[in-house]
Amino acid sequence: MYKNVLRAIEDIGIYPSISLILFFTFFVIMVIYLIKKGKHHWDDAARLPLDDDKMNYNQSEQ
Amino acid sequence: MSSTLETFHYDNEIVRKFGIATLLWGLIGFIVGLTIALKLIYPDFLGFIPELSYGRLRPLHTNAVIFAFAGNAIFYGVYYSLPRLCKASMWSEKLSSLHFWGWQSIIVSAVLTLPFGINTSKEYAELEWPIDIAIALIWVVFGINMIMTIIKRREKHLYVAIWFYLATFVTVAVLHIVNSFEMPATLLKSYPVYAGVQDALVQWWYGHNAVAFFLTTPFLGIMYYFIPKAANRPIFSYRLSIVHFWSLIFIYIWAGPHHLLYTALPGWAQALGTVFSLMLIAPSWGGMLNGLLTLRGAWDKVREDPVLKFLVVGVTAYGMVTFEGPMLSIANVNAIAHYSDYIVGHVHNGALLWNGGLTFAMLYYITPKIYKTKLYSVKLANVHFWFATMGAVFYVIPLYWGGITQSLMWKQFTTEGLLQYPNFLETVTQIIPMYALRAVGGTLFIIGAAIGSYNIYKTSRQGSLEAAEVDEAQPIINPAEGHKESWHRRLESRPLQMTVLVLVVILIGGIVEYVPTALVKSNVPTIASVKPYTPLEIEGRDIYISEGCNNCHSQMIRPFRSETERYGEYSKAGEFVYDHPHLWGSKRTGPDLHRIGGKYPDSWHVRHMYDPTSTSPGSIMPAYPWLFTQDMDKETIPNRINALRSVGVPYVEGYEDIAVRDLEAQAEAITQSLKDNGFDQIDGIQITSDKEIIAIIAYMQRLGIDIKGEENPWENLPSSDRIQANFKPQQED
Repeated sequence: MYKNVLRAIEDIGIYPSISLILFFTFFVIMVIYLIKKGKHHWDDAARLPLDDDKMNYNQSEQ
Repeated sequence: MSSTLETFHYDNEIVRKFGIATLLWGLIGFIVGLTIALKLIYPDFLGFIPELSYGRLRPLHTNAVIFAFAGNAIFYGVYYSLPRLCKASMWSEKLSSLHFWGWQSIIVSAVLTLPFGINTSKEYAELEWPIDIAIALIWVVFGINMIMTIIKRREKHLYVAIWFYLATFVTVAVLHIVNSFEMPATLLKSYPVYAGVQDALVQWWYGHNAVAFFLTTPFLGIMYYFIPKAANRPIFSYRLSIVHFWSLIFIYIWAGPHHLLYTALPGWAQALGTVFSLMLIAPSWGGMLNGLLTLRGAWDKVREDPVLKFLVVGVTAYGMVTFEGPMLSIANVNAIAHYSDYIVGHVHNGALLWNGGLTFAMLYYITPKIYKTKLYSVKLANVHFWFATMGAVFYVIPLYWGGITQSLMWKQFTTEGLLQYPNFLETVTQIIPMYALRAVGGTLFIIGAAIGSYNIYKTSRQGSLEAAEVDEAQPIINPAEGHKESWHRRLESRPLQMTVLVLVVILIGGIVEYVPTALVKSNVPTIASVKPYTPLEIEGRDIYISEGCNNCHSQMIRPFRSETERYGEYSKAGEFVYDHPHLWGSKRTGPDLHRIGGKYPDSWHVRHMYDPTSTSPGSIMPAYPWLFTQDMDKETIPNRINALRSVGVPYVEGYEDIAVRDLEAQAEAITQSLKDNGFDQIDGIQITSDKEIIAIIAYMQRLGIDIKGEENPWENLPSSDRIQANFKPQQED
């Protein structure tokens, strides 16, 4: 039955390949970009949840 | 302090409401779960009351824990963290309130329909069409309120948690709408527009991504907010969180077909599902490690702080489950684990510890905060933690053990080449001790949750709710500022572009994978001898759905010798072209039923449905005595024929007017033949042709026989000629 289905859609093999290439390209570009920007580029963003209220959670340790 | 500082408040009242709802529905959902767990050990537990039967309560349990417990927990976390991350009040308190009450009404409507046999049979999408519409509307209310809050924010940068919230909103909306295309037949009955293979693919594209975008992405957002909060340090790597986010949402959407390996689904779709599932390990573990590594240098806090304990166990469980998931997607592993209780163990590892753990962590974190007090008892929270963890261990391990044991027994051959355990029941009774241990685990978890609820209640009593918490922040003065920033930084301050990009990313997977199967007709080879169901069989099939038989019985024989020996010829895609919805099932607590037609005489079904132990001693199937006393629903048969025709089943125009005549003729024939064999009554109950049992028998005897081409089920019906004329069988190429 699989053979029937595979015959039914022409060039079905290209679907998985396209998707894999799409994702791989996307992924590589993103990783290169992130490495280039360096570790501290997002430091301020990473602190956002900590700045959002006046009272700190572990007050005893402040 | 700048002079432009603006004062605003956080609405803690709505947070409190969602918190209460989370606990309340959670406890109810867990108890329903324990009830059905006990029914597997003691089938007569609570007697044989239709509304409390296993098949009807199981969807109630899954819906309650997913949409009521985890759902309210998501909103609890979002309504707490989003305004704080945006430095803004929620956009509209009216919408918040509408969202809250709307969502609770949907849950109540689930409680009022599922036990009464009103369901669609599609897993985790069991609610009928009017409720589906309500879900879509309320979900949009939530989305508008969230997106408008983000637009009106005072903090330029969107923190990573918010991306996960946005992805959740967008994707769940798409999933829910696409999976809910259905044709209403009556006010509370509909048929999906998809049939068979296509219905299965859409259903598991939905089902899998309900796990991804309802039980994973929102909780990852929660993780990215609450772990830094509780540990009082920023997330380990923000860069990693960017990779995590985009990879996860891109890859997850493809993985659905791993629920359908070895089924009649086209091979290329199965292969795609497997490959993307394996790739999914990377972003999942990236995210898990990002969460855990945030605690580097702060592990001492984990010893003391119940919030961190629940977070750490939750994230660790996430790591286990997301390793297991891809492994289960490998065909050879799937061949053993699928249809077994292993999968039930797997999902509970995620549900109890990951979703449960993060939810209780939030409850222990937020409650003291909004009530301006300390946690009532850290000791009790620690007791809860151990009950929850041990409960999950006692739940999960026995099911892993039992699942694999049973599956290996299904596949065991003797040296003569015969099935070692030809009687399915033998493989069930073997693992009942494991079912018992699982119920112990569940009980422990519930005790823990009850202790936790008490602790949270006492905490709220000793403090007082700060309903409107005041904060102040500068508005974003120049929104255009930062144009020279790098592209992702820019994206992180543009919510609408972010949302659109998320939509594009998730649609790629959906479209490439799903469109070919859904649109290319020749994808499902039709088999000339496969014919639509007769009106009586439709009624029987709808009763089958209503009773939730698909919760324990599959209708999909995989092409393994161990299955063809046991059940018969393996299932072909073309056999399901008139199945709206498909009823392939996902778990075999009982045997597969795809080739049950003709296997036993009608009288066997009569005895078996009335008391399963009379034909199968030791069976844990519930008895269905009410099928012998409840009348079939003949009144809506015309509506149902109409609805089925409009989704593509080739009934002749006008057939609905005479369909009941066919139904009665077929029912009469079955009843007469039962009578001829001495079954005019059972246990003093007369078997008459208008009872549900007759319809169920008709459906059972029809299952899987078409492919043999020996019998034409329409042959002896009064209107057989008219229906035949309309068939347009396609040639198999």
